Formats: sequence, structure tokens, C-alpha cells
Amino acid sequence: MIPRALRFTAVSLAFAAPLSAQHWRTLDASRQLNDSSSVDVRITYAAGKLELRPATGGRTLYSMSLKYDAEHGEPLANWDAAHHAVHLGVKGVKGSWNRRDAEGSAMRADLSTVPPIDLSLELGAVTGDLQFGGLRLSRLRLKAGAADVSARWDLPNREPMHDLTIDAGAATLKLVQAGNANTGRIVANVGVGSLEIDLGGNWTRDIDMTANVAMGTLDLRLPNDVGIRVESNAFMVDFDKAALRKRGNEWYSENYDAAPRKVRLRLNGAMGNVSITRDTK
Amino acid sequence: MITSLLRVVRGASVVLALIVSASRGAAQSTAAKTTQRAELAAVLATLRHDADTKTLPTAEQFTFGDRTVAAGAEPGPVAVANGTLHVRGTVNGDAASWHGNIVVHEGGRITGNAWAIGGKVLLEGGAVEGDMRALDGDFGPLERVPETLDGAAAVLHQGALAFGWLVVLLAVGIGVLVFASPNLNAVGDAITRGFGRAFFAGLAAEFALLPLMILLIVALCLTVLGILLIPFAIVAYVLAAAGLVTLGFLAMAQLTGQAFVGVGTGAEIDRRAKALQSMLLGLVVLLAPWFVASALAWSPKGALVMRTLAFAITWVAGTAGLGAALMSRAGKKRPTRADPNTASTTGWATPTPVAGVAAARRPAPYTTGGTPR
Repeated sequence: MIPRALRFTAVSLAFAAPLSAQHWRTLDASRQLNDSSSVDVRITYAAGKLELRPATGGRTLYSMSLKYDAEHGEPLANWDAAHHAVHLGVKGVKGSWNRRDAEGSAMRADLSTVPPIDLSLELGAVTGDLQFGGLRLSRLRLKAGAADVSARWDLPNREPMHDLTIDAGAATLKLVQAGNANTGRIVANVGVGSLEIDLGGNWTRDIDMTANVAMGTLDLRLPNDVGIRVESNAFMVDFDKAALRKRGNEWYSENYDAAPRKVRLRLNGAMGNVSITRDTK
Repeated sequence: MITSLLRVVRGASVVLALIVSASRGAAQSTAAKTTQRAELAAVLATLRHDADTKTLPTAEQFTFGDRTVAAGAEPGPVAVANGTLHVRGTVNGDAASWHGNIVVHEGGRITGNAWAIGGKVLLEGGAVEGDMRALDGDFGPLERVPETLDGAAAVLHQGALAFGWLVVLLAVGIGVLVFASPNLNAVGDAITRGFGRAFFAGLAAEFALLPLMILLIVALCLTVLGILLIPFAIVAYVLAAAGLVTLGFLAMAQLTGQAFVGVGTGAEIDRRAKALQSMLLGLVVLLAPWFVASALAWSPKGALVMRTLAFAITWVAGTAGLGAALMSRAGKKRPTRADPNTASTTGWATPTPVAGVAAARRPAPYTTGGTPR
């Protein structure tokens, strides 16, 4: 009798343990725009659905709508007046997020299109749809752990972007119309995830790109009129060079010399997979 | 006359009834407000768990019902509960509402933050210089694991941790006893032969662990192919080091246990039972200071002193064990019983010649050709 009771208790506990309490809350946080000086925006989001958009109307610096489980996350909406910076998102508290948290959590952030923004995103297990088009991004750093994120520039970035840095740890990232990002420098670090960069859009200058690929996949999609030069320091990387020709130590696309827009790619890494395609519409 | 007197009495009784009912209503209203204020205080206390909501006004700063900040300035915080806060002038500081909206009208201004709990912040031509927050949802008390535990919770938590380590080490120890008992015994022998030597060897190894790993990485970098192996080499190195420390610590535990239960000398089953007993007892003895430290978790100073002592004991055991594990090459180098080049004290130190048997001479293996004295 006792062993049966013990067994029942153990089984009950095993099933009960993951069903910890949840306290779902919503937070709408916003701040009015007082001036057009540049702003540092940092977004930290551990798990859930994320949407980022340019704000409509010119009076809001940022607005954020959150649905989060207060048991496992603490909302972040900290304005630092001294540094003109804001930290948005949800910070995980002691104890990890579980799958139910990720399924129920959602965040939408709208950023002003008026001031230049230095934007930094740190994403965990996030499903994201990020629309950067129309913003004035002076710098963008996107760090994703196990995320599945699509980042788009449907409109040109209205500020010259100093650099665009992507860290795709184990994430699946897709950058669409990244030619609209208005940047001359892209750094892509791919761990074991996959990164697809579509460089379509309105280019304002040539792009210097550094790709560090460990064991993941990098797919670079170029418009037909873009020439590419590849300096490869990669070892055991599956790099498709079919459409390239070797000159000296570098690989060139056939149209490189005549191309009005150029990409210079420095490729480092080991055991990854890199492809360059030209199917951008 | 009587009629007019009756009228006066009736009127007075009506007035009295009205006064009584009004006072009863006021009492009920006060009680309701007290309850609501307590509820509000609980919600505010829950919300203050989050770092950026610590500046919310206190429950006592809330007034119940609608309120209007008229043109002109009013010091903040201005907070309303169960009503709408209309801001037509300036609030110098924060504004807050509970179960109601904050409406900032044309010409209205809030110089701090605007918090609406269970409501909205509505801008109708006015301005909020700080943050606007609208919070809603389940404001029940949270069951988060606190960052720091105190009292009985801390004792239980620390005790569970120590017990967990005991269970893990015992499981590993049983595994070692089953699969690598000769190695464990050899490491134990190395400790027995020279605890000090094993301790200093372990200390030297601890200092050398990191430089050796860096050297390994550099060496792998020099061979181009080896670069690929660096992550695997680091993991293997760390695992090997952890394995040696664990083996050494378990050998120390077994030796400690043997001091209490002795070594099995009879049948195989007896030897194994003794080995298991000594392992369990040794681990309990070595981890006992951690259990004492966990029992003192309610007292920060006592726990600190005991934890330092427990760490020191564990470190000494681990270091000596590591040294012994290295000296015995993880228990593969077992002591030879009869080494001809080693002068055995018991071999030559026969006490007194017995019945005409000449006393043996001390062996002199390193003679230079002369006659041994």
C-alpha cells in the first residue's frame, strides 16, 4: 500500500512540477518624443513572439506592448536620460522560461522614425518579424540564440548605418532587402545556425562584408548587377565557387569589374556551408 | 396645536432617520475604502518586485474617486483609485491611477511618469515628460524563487545542495568501485605512501592546469589541422582534469572511511562490502562540514566560517587526491611489492640474531667498488 502511495505521489509530483503558476500581465509602455537627438535602443527578449515596426506619427519615441508571465519575466522599459538610451523587453528572472511562457508571450515595439537610433537586439528563443525599413538606424546589432527571425527593410534606412552586425548562434535568421540598410559594413557571425542575407534594395555604397562561419550555413543572395569579390580564409567550408573566377588569392564574379555595386567578402571559418546566389528580385 | 406638534415630531424623526442612515452609509463606505486600500497595497507590493516599478506611489498616497488637477501646478505624486485622473494643469512628479484612466488634457503636463494600473494613459493634447505605462492582468502574489533565501528556507536549500552532492559523489564512487577498483586502490596507495608528497604534487598540478591548457591550444594552432581539434581538446582536457580530481577525492574518501570500518580481508564479497561502506562513510565525513555549514545557513557569519572550513577540507582532500592520481597515473602505476633497488628497512633490520643465525647486512645497492662497511 505504501509503495503504491509513494509511486502515486512521485508520479503526481513529476507531472505537477512543470505546471508552475503563471501570472500573465500586459504592459503598454511609451515615451513621447521631446527632441531629435540620437537614441540608443536595446531590446532584450528571452522567449516569445516579437514584432518590431517603425512608429506611425511623429510624437512617440518608443512604444512597447508586452504580454508576459510575471512569474518568469520582468518587463524592461528603462529610460536613461543621461545617456539618452532605453532598454526594452523582458528580463528572465531566476528559473528558466518554459515552453508555455514562450507560446504565450508577445512583444511589439514601435520605434520613432525621427531620431537616429543605435539599435541592439538580444534575442533568445524568439519568433520574430522585424521591420527596420523607414527607421533611422545608425548602427544595428542583432544577436540571436535559438531564434527564428525575419528582418526586413521594405523601405530604405534613412540614416547611413555605420555597421550591421549579426550574430546567429543557433538561430535561423533571414535578412530581406538588406541593400536598403544603407550600410557599408556587414559583419556576420554564424555558429551552428543559418543566416540568409538578401542584399536586394537601394544601395547607397559598396559593402565590405566579413563572414565568420563556424558550422552553420550562410546564404548570400545578390542582385544581378552586384559584383562580388571573395577573400576566403575558410578551412573545410563548403563554399560554392561555381560562378566565381580565381584571380590571385581571391575569387571574383564575372561582372565584378563592370558592376556598379560591389561586395567585398572576407570569409573565415571552418566546417560551414556558404553559398552565393543571384535570385534576388 | 397638537397637529403642528405632531408635524414637528414627524419632521424631527425623519431628520434623525436620515442622519442615522447617512452615518451608517459613511461607516460602510469607510470600511469598503479600507478594504480597497488594502487590496491596492497588495497589488503595489506585487508590482514593486520589478525593478522599474519601485517608484510607484504608496497606497496611502491614492485618493478614491475622480480627481482633476486644475490649471496651475500641483506637486506629485498625484494618485487616484477607482476613478479617472484628469490633468489640466501641471503635475510636478508622477501620476498614477488604479482601476481608472489618466487623461492628460490640452495644456496638461506630467513632469514625471504616468502609471495606469488596470487603466490607460490617454493623451488628449497634453504631455507626459516621463514614461507612460499601462499595466493590466493578474496581479496576484508571485511565487518566484527569491534571490536570497533566509531562515529555514536557506537551511533547507543548502542542505539539499549538500545532500545532492553526496548522492552524486556516491553514485560516481559506486561506479568507480565497480569498474575501476584497482585504479582507486592504487591512488589510495599513493596517498598512503606519502600524503605530503601527493598534496604538493596536486598543488603544483593545480597551478599548472591553465598554462598547460594554453600550451596545448598553442601547440594545436601551430599544426594547421589541429585548429579544428581545439574545441574537442579543451573539452577533453577539462574532463580529464575533473576525472582525476574526482578519482583522487574518492580515493581520499575511501581511505577516510577505512579508518572507521577497516579493510575487508576475507572473501571477495566481504572486501566489496567493506569498500562500499568505507566509501559511503568517507564521503559523509568529508562532506560533513558542508552539512554543518548548511545547518548554519540562518546565520550569515556562522555559515561563512563553516563554509570556509568546509572548502578548506574539500580542497585539501581534492588536491592530495589529484596529486596521488597523477603520481599513480590515474591508478595505472601500481606499487611494486619487491623492488631490488629499494632498501627495505624491514628486510635488513632483523632485530637480534636468533640461535646462531647471523644478522643480515643492510643491502648496499650503490657501492662504488670498496668493501661495504
